[in-house]
Parts: sequence; C-alpha cells; structure tokens
Amino acid sequence: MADVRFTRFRKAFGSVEVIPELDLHVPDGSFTVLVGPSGCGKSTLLRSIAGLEEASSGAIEIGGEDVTHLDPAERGVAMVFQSYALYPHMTVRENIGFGLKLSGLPKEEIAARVEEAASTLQLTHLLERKPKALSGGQRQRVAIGRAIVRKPRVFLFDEPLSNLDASLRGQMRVELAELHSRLGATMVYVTHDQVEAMTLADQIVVLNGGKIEQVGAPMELYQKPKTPFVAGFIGSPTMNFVEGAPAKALGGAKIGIRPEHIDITQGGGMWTGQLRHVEHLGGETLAYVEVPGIGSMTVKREGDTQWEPGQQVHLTPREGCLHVF
Amino acid sequence: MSTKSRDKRQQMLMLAPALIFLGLLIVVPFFMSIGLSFTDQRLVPRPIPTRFVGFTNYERLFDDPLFWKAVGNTALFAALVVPFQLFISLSVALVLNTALPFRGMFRAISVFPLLLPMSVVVAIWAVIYRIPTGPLNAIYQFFAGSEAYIDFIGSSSTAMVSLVVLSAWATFPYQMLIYLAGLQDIPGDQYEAAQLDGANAWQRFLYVTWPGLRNVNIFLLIITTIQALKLFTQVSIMTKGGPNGATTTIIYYLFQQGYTTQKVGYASAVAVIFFLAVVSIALLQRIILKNEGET
Ligand SMILES: Nc1ncnc2c1ncn2[C@@H]1O[C@H](COP(=O)(O)OP(=O)(O)O)[C@@H](O)[C@H]1O
Ligand SMILES: [Mg+2]
Repeated sequence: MADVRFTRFRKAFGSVEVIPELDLHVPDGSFTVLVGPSGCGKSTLLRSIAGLEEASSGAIEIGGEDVTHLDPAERGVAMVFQSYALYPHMTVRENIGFGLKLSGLPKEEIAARVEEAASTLQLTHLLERKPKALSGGQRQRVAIGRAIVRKPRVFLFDEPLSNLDASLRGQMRVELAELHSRLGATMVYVTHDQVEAMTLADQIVVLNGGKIEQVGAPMELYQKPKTPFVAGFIGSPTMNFVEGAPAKALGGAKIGIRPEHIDITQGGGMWTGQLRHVEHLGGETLAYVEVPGIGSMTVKREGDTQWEPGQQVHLTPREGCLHVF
Repeated sequence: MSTKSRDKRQQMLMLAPALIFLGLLIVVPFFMSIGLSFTDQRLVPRPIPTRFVGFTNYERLFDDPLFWKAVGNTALFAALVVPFQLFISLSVALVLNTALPFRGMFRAISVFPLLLPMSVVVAIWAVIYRIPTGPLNAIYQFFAGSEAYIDFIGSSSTAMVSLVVLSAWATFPYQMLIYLAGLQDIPGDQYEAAQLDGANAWQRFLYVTWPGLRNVNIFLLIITTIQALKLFTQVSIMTKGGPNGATTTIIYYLFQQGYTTQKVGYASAVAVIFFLAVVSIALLQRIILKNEGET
C-alpha cells in the first residue's frame, strides 16, 4: 500500500508539451479518479506512474520512494488497460499467473494465488479458456485478476469500462468499488465519464489541457467548483451559464446554475422563456427553455411533469445555489 | 430467393473472365502434363506417332538414381534454406520494427534484393564467390593465413551451401515484409502489459511476439518451403546442376529431361510427382502446425 506523489512533473512528446509542470498527491488507499475530456493527458499521467512513459522533468514517488527512473516492473504497480491487453494465446489461468511465473514464484504458490483471484472475480469456471472465448465483461475481469494477483502497491485503470455496454458498466462499477473497499489499495482510475468519476472516487482530479483544474472529493467539486470548466464538467446535465447584464444583476460576471437548482413556474419569475423541448427520463424530466437575452437553459425536475413544448414559462434560480465565477 | 440466385449469377458472370484465364493458363497445362506423363511424347515431333505407354515413365522414374539424387538435393536445399532464410527475415523485420533512426531508409534498402532479376543476383554472387581472389576468399585467406582458397561454386561439398546463401539473400525481403506486417499487427499494449508483468526483452519476444506471429509463421513456412522446392533459376545460371550433380534439383532435372534430352513424357511424370509431393508437404505442415496450436 502506498501513496503516489508527482513533484513538478512535466511531460512532452518531442516539442509538444502534453503536461505542463504539475504537482499532485494521491493519498494512500484512496480511489483517485483522473477525469477530463479526451486528449487532456489523463492516460499520459497514468502511464507515467506505470513507467510506460518517461517524465520529461520532475519526479514521481510511490510510497515515498523515487521511482522516476525505475522500470515498470520495479514500481510495484499493476495496470488494467482499456483494451484489456490479454495475451491471446494463453488461457485465463496463464494470463493471470504470467507475472508470478516470471517472478519465479513456486508453481503451487502461483496456482493458489491464481485460484484465489479467480474465485474473487468469479472466474473459476473459465480458468482453462482462452480470451477469445470470453465475453467483454469476462475479459475485463481477467484483466483485473491479472492485476490483483501481483498484490501491487498501486492499481492503475485506464478507462477500463469504456468497452462494455451500459448495463455491464454499471455492474462493473459496483464491483470495482467493492474491490477497492475490500483490498484497501491505492487506485488511480482514468475516465472521461463524469458518472464513473462521481460514483467511484474519493478524490477527483479534473484535468484540462494537461493542467489540473481542481482536486477534491466528488461532492466538493459538485458544490464548490473553482472554475467554470469544473462546474461544466461535473454534474449531469451540464450546468447553465449566464453572462452579461443578467449575470451582473445576480452579482457576478459569469454565473453558473445547475439544472436542478432552477424553479420553473407558470407565472411570476425572474426570467421568461419558451419551452423548446421536453425529455421524459422516467425518474426525472428535463426541460430545455429558450430565454431571450440569456440563451438556452436546462431545467431538471424529479418525476413526471405536465410541460408542453411551446409553452411560456418563468424561471427562477434558487437562492443560495448560484456559482459566481 | 430470386434476388439471391440472381446475385449468384451475376457473381459468376463477373468471375468468368478470370476463371477462364486461370483455366487456360493453369488447369489445362496441368491436366495436359498428367496426360503427357503416360506417353512417350518427344519435344520435336518424330515420324513415329506418340504412343500411350501406361505407367512406364513412372516405373522408370522410380528406378532412376539421378531422379533420387535430385530429390535428395532438393530436400537438402529446402532443409537448409527455409530455417536460414526465415531466421534472417525475422531478424531484419525485428530490427526494422523498432524505433530505429532512418527507419524508412533502411526499409527501402532492405528490399533491394527483390528488385534484382535472379541473373543479376547470380552475377553479384559469382563475384563474391570468385576464385582465387574474390572478397569471400580474401576473408578466408585473411583468417587462414595462407594462399589457399575455397572453390565455393566449383566444389561439390560447398556448392549447395553457396546456393543456399545466395538464394536466401535474393528472396528474404519477401518474408521480411510479411513478418513486418505481422509484427505491426501485434497490439502494442500486450508488450506494455508484459513489461508491467516483469518480462524482459527476450521474454517479451518469447511470450508476445513469437505466439503473435503464429499464423504468419505457418504461412511463411509453407510458402518458403514451396519456393525452395522449386529451386531452378540459380542452378541453371550458376552451377548447371553441377559439380557432379551436387546441385541438380528436381526442377532442374525435369528441365534437363524435357529440353536437353527432349523426353517430354518422362519430364511430365517428374512434374506430376513433384506436384503431388509439394501438395502433400504443404498439407502435412498445415495439419501438424494446426494440431500443435489447438493443444
Ligand atoms: N506517444 C505519443 N506521442 C505523441 N503524442 C502523444 C503520445 N501519446 C499521447 N500523445 C498526445 O498527448 C495528448 C494527451 O494524450 P492522452 O494522455 O492519451 O489523453 P487522454 O487519455 O486524456 O485522452 C494528446 O494530445 C495525444 O495526442
Ligand atoms: Mg486515454
């Protein structure tokens, strides 16, 4: 078990600086999620922990030990790849036990540890199969099994659920959370999906163009986003932004209001607009309202509603729920 | 149903020109040679008409020591050149697949032998093998420290090996390019996973690269073996089957029988036997390798 620390870490590919100087601490035993839009450098940061990318400058420590120039195998980390990267010609058993075999562990010990990991992940009946005879979710489990048998100090996940269908993704999300609480290990997890970030993390790192926008607990990012980028990225549907004169009236140059923090009424409100479109999601309803002088605003309501497109409505931001930037 | 059968008809119509062409060029001569192998057909027509002779050609063939010598030579050549050439091809492909500086240039240079006609290749190697003062003999003399030299082409103990080296050099880029494509098909993250699992460079080759090239290897083993069994051009230009029959291959023997001694019927029998041998070797390799893979 160990923490991970980046100190004045910088990464460039040739002349392209992907990650300008950055400091980051991943506490021991935390589930830290790196989140941000595609191409913002999440994978690069994760692969730098693994040693698959070399730091251009600065240092990386794992458990207090400077690993900046260590080989991947010497860092005590395990990684689950987006594509799973299973060895296609090896059985599940061989895939999971490969790292142990290379480290020269006795056969009985390998077998015992593979069996243990397999039973944790409900893979026991699949041990003699090759990866091509497995479903996506099963392959995912094998990749996780390959990581846990090595008892690494830090687990690294690079968008591990993005190749699964929606229902399986939800299920695996729960399993990963359980795995983390059972092992208590440090996990660094990359995703571009803010739902995964919110549900899995105890610490979220929001990245934008290689820079850290904000680090914090999920609810902290939701309640007190420091920048419009974080505010827009965390929360679903995306936060509404108001600029110009209407924003000034509320006391800022740019005001953010979450869709769930706007009251919608038939008469008497701050802004008047026209209902453009309504989405019924079952448990909740989304209304898209065109407000002259502000633009389109999204409003979220619990349960079903009687809204009709084309209808005239009034919107009022809820007191104390404004984000002033 | 009607659209399906119409599709089929359309497909057949579109395939027809190619099929007719293939038929005239390959299938017809193939059956002709089977037919000829049962006759005493000569190259130049004779006053006596060609006769059907049954299995006479085949019976004579099986008692013909020169034929068996050619079979032995061909097998020896294949046994030497296939592993040698595949080893070179894979080695070069591995080097060219790394992040080598000027990689594009090296790739272009490495396929250079493929651009040369075999006659030019032979001319180049005739210079290299030259006696008593060719470059190879100069090296030999440097190490042996004497005036002695090796008659690479002219001595029956070295002629075959000389042919092997020349042939491997002349055609290895073909296998190399296929290896290169195969290497690029292996996903990079498998190497990264292996690295994290603690595999060193040799173990990554052993556990990722080599299994990843399985299908490529099967294909190349069959293709290269067949290529080796067909050895002819180099022999006919460089050694003329000599010295003392040491490099007479099956195809060269076939050529001698058919053209030099004009026994077309007999040569056709050689061709038929050769064809059957090649097909069975290819099938055998395929079956053996396939079984190995399933276990
Ligand atoms: N090996 C590489 N060579 C050059 N540029 C790279 C390399 N790997 C990643 N990049 C660039 O670095 C940036 C960040 O990539 P990445 O870390 O994969 O982003 P993310 O995982 O957040 O989508 C991208 O612009 C990408 O094009
Ligand atoms: Mg990525």
